[in-house]
Amino acid sequence: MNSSAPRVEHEIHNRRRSRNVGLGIVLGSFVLLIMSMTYVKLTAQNAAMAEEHAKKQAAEAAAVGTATPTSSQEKSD
Amino acid sequence: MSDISTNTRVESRLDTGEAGFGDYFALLKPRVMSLVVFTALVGLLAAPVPVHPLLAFAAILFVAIGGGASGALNMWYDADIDRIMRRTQSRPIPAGKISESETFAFGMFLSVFAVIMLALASNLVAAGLLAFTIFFYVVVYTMWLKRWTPQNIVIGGAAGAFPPMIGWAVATGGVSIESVLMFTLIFMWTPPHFWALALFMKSDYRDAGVPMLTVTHGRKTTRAHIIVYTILLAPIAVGTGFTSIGGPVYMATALVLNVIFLKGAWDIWRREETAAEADEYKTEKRFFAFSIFYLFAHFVAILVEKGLAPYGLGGWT
Repeated sequence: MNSSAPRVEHEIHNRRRSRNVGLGIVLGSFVLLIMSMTYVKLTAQNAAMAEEHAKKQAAEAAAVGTATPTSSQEKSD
Repeated sequence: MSDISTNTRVESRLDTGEAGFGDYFALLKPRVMSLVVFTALVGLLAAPVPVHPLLAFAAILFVAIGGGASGALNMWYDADIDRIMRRTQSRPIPAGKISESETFAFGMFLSVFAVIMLALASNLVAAGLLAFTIFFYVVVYTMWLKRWTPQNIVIGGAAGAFPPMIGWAVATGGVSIESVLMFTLIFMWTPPHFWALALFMKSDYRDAGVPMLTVTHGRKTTRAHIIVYTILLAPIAVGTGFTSIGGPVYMATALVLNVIFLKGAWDIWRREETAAEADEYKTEKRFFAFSIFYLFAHFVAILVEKGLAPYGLGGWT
């Protein structure tokens, strides 16, 4: 009976260790995943904003470009 | 000596409630989860909108966790049945490794976690569909239909059919005819698949008091139901081939597989019970095994069509 007691302790500790190590790996992986997701989302968002900004600038430039000849035309008239 | 140490180990586990990491993982029904992951991934990849690989990975992971959480909640509610059925006696609760209350807390936490994280990783439509899937599987199927009607797996099968729809929603942010057809394919496939299983696992369901069709309406009726659902499934499987996710490869696969599946259902329908008992349900077991390959091959064919598209070979164009 006494000889089996240390084995029981050992078995419980092994199981507890497996659970703790497993949980540690899961939590660590989760932190890494959230960091990576944040990076990807922010990068994509920045790219989209930059594209939108470039489009807006191009549209403004085009508007100025079309507006100038019209005003000069009005002057010549 | 070895007997004594084994008994001591079992008792210590029951007394301390110290479950290992693998026991918690087993609560997530890994085998069911693999089907969820595969079909959700196909739904995501088949969609016309590309998704960043990391976000796709995260989305599929959260769908898998949500599916696993619903499996844990199913084990919590069905612990009494699992103790009776031979097939489920080794699950963590009947085996005394994890308590019912702990399983409930584990399942609830992971359900909420998975839905919130999917919403953050992708969009609200996908997260809403995942939340509805968990609700449908736990409340509608497990708590309500499973113990009440022999049509339990017909309606409850919807829970297992949602993953490709969720995958599609992750990419597109919505629902379309293609995702509905992928849903319907799994939905109509589920009854013949499970009824074939029920035909050769007969005592398990009867002993547990689960009103499977074999128990309530007899085996002859079950055989008739299998062929009816297989006939209804065939046009859906083939019809999917005419949409944007189909193509020549999918169509050829669907045609061949459905002819074989129909032949299997026909053989099951024509069989007398005495003949089935004599060869230990050989035809039914073969049909059940083929049904797994049938579904897998349909979804692989969808993936192949998508994979061939960049080379101008996939789809009908």
